[in-house]
Amino acid sequence: MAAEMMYSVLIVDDDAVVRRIHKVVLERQGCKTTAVTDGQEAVNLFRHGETFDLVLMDLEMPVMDGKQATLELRTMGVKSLIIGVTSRRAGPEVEAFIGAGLNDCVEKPLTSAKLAATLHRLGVHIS
Amino acid sequence: MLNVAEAQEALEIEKIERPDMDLIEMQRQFAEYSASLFREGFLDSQFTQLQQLQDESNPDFVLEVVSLFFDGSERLLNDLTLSLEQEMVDFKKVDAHVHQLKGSSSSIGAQRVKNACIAFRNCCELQIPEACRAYLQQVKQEYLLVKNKLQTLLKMEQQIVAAGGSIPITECPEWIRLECCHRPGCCYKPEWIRLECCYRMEWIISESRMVARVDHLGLMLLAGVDQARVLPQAGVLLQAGVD
Repeated sequence: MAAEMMYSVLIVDDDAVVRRIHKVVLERQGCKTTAVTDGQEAVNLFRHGETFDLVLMDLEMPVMDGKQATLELRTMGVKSLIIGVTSRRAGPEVEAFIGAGLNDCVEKPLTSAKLAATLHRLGVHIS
Repeated sequence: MLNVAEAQEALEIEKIERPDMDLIEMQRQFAEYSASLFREGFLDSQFTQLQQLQDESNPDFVLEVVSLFFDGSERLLNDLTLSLEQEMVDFKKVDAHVHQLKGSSSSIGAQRVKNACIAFRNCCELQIPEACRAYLQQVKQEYLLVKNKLQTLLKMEQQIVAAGGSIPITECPEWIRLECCHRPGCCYKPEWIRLECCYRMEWIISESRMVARVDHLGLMLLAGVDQARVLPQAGVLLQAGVD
């Protein structure tokens, strides 16, 4: 499959273990991945004209957390799907995260099954 | 009765006739050791997920991820030690470090480290430095245990690969989440415990041996067990399976 046709995903997480796992899970599904370590880097990529079909956004990160990054991206008019990926269970912080503009939120760790179920729920079909 | 020399010769002959015998034995030992790590709670199903992600395009995936986990964890444990040695402990910082360690241990399936982190975070809320230092020691202990186990497992894996074999994947026993109204820390006889389960009752009762662990929400009823002790550990679930 040509790289430019592949479903592009931006992984935003400060944990190297999580970035590596998510990269392989997504690439197994045929996605093209880019990874950054905090929300500010994610926002900068979009500001510089990069586009992604999907953003996997961690909540707690240094420099700029996932909630703030999501707010900024939505304020910029970014229409990409943004899925929050957090190890926090449901509660006010997760609700605020969702309220910042997420399309969905899943609990870590992300697995192939969770990813497939979430994308299915959002009506996304990766060819 | 064969003497030692004859026994060794017989073994050599068998190796020639069955050159894969050592490999089979290595695979068997690997499978047994791997199963014990799941049984003893060191690893959970997330580790199986990692093994399943390893393939020709990512042949060292598990080793890479585990190595990243070791590096990150040791850095976090050092930071935690330094933070808790301060005269004025920044508990928000401590909590953030523990949260991160919990996240990465959960991502590789290091269940006991994850559970120790959950208990540590509960202690952080109380903001008692001495208690937090004690929980840090528990986390360190669990981390060192799982590090040792994983290093052994990966070494066995390397030996199998070097011998030209494939790595058997051990499936983690299926966990079932059950609801209950009883308090952690108490002991109950099974007939006193109310069981609610989303799975068919027949399926559960048909399993001969079970282990229960309880989180702050509930307890599991065990069929065929004399007594069930409610353990004050976070992380739920009933292990369906046998030793």
